[in-house]
Amino acid sequence: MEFWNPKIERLSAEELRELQERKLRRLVENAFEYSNFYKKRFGSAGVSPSDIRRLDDIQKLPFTYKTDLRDTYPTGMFAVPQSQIESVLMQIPEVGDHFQIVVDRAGPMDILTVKVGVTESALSDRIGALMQLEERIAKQLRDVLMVNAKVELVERGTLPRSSGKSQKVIDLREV
Amino acid sequence: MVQNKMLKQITLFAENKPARLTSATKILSENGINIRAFTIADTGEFGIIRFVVDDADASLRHLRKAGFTVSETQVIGLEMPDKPGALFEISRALSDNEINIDYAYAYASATPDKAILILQASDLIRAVRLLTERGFHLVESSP
Repeated sequence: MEFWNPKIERLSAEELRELQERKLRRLVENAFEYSNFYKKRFGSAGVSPSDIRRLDDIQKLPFTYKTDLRDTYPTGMFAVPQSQIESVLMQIPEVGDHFQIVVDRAGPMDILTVKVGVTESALSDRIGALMQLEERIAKQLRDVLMVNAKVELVERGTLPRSSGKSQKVIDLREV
Repeated sequence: MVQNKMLKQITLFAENKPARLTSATKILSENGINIRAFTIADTGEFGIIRFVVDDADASLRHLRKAGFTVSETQVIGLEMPDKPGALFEISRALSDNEINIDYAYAYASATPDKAILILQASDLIRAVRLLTERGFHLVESSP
């Protein structure tokens, strides 16, 4: 018998429930801590993250409605602080301070693009190495923050010179 | 000296938009630098332009000053006779020794009936030793 994920697929029912509950708690805590929308919504429903311990507790959670998505657009549902994205990028030596975060829309989806200015030390004569660098940055954002970003390598000259916060993040979405 | 048998290659990073090659080559032209060989590798969004020129240090200096991101790497310049089997001999010499060719491009030599193959390999120093031992003629870096 082969398994795609031997560990997860062979968990006992009890272990599986524990895993689901752990993930549920993490999700609820994250939403409460980082999303102003959910902090308020939990408050008006009289629910605290500590009330959500077991799978059954899911019925205590308030609903999110279509109108909520409409009313909070565009940034009201954000749950990852920009500073976290920045600190992940700063820790990648090839990136350092040479980046810009661009938020845009494509159809119904918000798209996060991270533009990284290529430095001389990161510039390889092998194009494969540069493509791997793009992938590595995207993977780091996904692994650490669970954020899916499109990473684009650009010439440093096209990034704004100032490292001021307002220019580090650009929002191109039209409300 | 193995180092003397290598050539300096300049790599320039360019976004895929019009006129990047024009601006870069304009700078080389204005400073009297001759391009011996060049090649472009691109991904659709960005590319790298690789040059072998007659004065690598001056090229780097002028391109940097103009705001380009450039770096320098060593490559092999290999004289190749203009006859069937020339590339086969070179590639066999390397593959027999498990040296991988990362990329290669060629230009016509000033000597008639000769081409110069620019070569980047997974183990460049071993490639230089091996090709020299096998009697291939490597282009020496200009002093």
